[in-house]
Amino acid sequence: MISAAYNFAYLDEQTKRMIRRAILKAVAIPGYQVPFASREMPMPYGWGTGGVQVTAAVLGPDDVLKVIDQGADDTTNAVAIRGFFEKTARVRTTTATAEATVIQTRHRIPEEPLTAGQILVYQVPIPEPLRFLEPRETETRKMHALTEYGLMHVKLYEDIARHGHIATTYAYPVHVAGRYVMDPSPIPKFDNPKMNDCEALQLFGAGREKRIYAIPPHTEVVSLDFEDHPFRVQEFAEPCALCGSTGVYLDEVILDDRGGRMFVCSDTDYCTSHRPSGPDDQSAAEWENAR
Amino acid sequence: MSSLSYSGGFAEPVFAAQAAFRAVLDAFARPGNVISKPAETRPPEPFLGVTGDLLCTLADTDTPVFLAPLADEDSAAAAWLRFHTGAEVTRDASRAVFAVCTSLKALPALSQFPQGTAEYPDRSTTLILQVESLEGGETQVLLSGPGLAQERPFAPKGLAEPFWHEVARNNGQYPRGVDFLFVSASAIAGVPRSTKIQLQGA
Amino acid sequence: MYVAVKGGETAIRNAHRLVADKRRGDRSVPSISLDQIVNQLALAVDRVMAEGSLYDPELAALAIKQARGDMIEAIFLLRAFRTTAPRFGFSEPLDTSNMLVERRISATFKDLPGGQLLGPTFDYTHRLLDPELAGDAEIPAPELAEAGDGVMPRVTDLLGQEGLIEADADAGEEAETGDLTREPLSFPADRALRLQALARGDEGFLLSLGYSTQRGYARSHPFAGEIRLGEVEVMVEIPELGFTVSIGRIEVTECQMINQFKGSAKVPPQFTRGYGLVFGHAERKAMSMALVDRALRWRELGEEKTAPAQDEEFVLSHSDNVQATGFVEHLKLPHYVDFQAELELVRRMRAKHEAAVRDSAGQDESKAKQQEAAE
Repeated sequence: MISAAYNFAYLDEQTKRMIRRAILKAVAIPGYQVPFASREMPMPYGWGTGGVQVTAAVLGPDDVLKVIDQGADDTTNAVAIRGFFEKTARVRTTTATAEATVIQTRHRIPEEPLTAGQILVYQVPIPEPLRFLEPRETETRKMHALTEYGLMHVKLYEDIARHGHIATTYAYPVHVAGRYVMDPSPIPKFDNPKMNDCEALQLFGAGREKRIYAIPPHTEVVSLDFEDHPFRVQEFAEPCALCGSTGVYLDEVILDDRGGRMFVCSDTDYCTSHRPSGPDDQSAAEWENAR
Repeated sequence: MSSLSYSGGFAEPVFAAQAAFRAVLDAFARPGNVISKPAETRPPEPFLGVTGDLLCTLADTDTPVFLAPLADEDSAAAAWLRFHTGAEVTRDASRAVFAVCTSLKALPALSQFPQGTAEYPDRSTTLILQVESLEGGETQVLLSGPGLAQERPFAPKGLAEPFWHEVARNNGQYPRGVDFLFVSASAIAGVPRSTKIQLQGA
Repeated sequence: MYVAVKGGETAIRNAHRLVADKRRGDRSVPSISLDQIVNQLALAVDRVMAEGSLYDPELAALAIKQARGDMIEAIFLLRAFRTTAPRFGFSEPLDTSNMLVERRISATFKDLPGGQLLGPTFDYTHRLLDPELAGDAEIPAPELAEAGDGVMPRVTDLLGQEGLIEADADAGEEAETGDLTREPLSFPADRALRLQALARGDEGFLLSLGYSTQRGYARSHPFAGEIRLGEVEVMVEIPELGFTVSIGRIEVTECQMINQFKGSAKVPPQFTRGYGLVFGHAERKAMSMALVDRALRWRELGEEKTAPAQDEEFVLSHSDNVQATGFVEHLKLPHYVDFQAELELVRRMRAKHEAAVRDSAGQDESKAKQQEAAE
């Protein structure tokens, strides 16, 4: 009845043009959220439709695509999205960060520094950093226009008054190129410093909220803070239990119901390539067995 | 309408448009960086092939295009543009989503183009300027800002100081303002509104 | 373990295979055909077409079958298909006064030109479960009247002749109607855009909002001026031909709500309108839509904004069930990176808290000791 003949990378050319125009304006105005006519995608809103639309508009036959969710290539949603592009664009995919030209991500920035040839595409649930202070788009749009970011500082300061520190641990707001306050998507604040002066182009897609924004390479990205409460990233007491890396973001894995736990790299590609004897290392095997 | 209007489009629209878009994206992401871009289309005068590529990549029925100098409805260039992109050729600069300037003398004051608003700065024109070459011009400017690790000299041919003063003024009203794409026969370079312009010796 | 670090691909494949199996169910029961769904679950098909924004009963039936009867999932399937369909043009506004009417009722006049026509309705049925329907009982053919001469003036047009109701908004020849699916919604949105959003909005959400206006949250004294159901012609202008042609007929439900009158020094009192138009037979949706449309017009009618149903940004940002279900259900996706960030913070804060409690306990103890010593 229906013959499913879809265009390269699923989207029709007119939609791609519309998205491409929005991406260009986004790059021209770093951190500003460009409204775009987000389409219904064959995956649910909130599951990466914004990132998928941006990736589909950017992707070409020569690209090598990597898709991660929570830092991992093998999480179910990453697998589903990678499969979508393998099917609709027949592009080469990889799990190796360094090999990829386009990386679509949810909630993490890879540990390995990105390079000039790469584009990092973030999936964004709520693009508006002021949304939780002011739910109305009409109001937040005015606040951005007038650079009225005092409310955000008040909120962060209230945290300090109540808890002794800023209690925002992910989706930690940043100031881009000295103008727009931007939501970096729900990455842990651990990843925030990687956005600053990054070699790669960073694109953000929010499908349900119909917004695209961008950080060009070598752009100043500053996490909001106070002189007496400077921005600090999470620190982990122990190294990764599988590869021994320190200074990386770790996932906590609960091993049993008696308090047994281990901490392992959230970035699976980084972890695999940093294990002393590769992925067949003893502890990795033990862990797999424990599961 | 001459038969010229129907020919000279992208041979492989999907992939050619993708490649051209990536060149433009790169141009905006790294201002002043001269990116080589072979022309795929063969539009009529006064369009360069690369200009044709950019229009076929970005323009459509949703984007009125302004031509400077003003072109007649039935000029070969206007007809080609309409046929290959569906875009309306407008004579009203204040409606332009894209503007193509093939002769700098004919370019209206930048303030005549949509600049975007404080709340929607994205609603502004993207200007495509054809130049003889993107390098070796007599006037050199220094670019800095997002996309640039350090100051980058930029000297397309045929763009004198008054023009750069106007660009600097445009970029001075950031986040409002128009964005610039410079096009030669085989390369492109971008200067978005976020770029700071410094005239050498000024 | 919930998130397989490896084996995601296999897990997904197997899950999809399982859902296919569940969808089919007991193989000794015949598979349901699309014809059966189109004919016997017609109102489900109508809802999926309306909220899926695509008039195609067969595809809607397929979506319902594929979604195992999950309406929002079916709506989503139809929407995702709709996006990929090429756009050839725009239709002219539907002329509902030229409707081939199947049902037409007015709560405002006992009789009127064209009469009251009850048509196929659940109204006045006794809601008693009918065991006969469990089987395949013979259903007698309906009584049908000859179609009238086609002229059935709208109640609002009749009232309008006397100036008793505000005129239909006239967009003017030059006005461009926005398109929700092509331009991101920005606020304030004009009425045409609001009606587009409501037409594809979730029936349950609009029902509750409409209901809230009746209960005093932006009361508008509504009367069901007219509800009509029937087929209308879809006309499209073909630029190459220079005239409009009919591309077919679709079934729609229209509700014209007559509301709270209003006047000013310049304009004598007249009733105001709320409007609802929905694909298929969907009276509840059309009526709810009309109530919410009227509530959203507070600004234009100089009313005070006091209630959720009047709040354009709130209503339009949350009426789309495909968006809503996606975001609510995305909470199923792994969030362990963010959660780890929170966990680390809460642990750190608890440790600090415990240390503070220990310190103050220690101080109390030493104070008590000092006191003892002093005594």
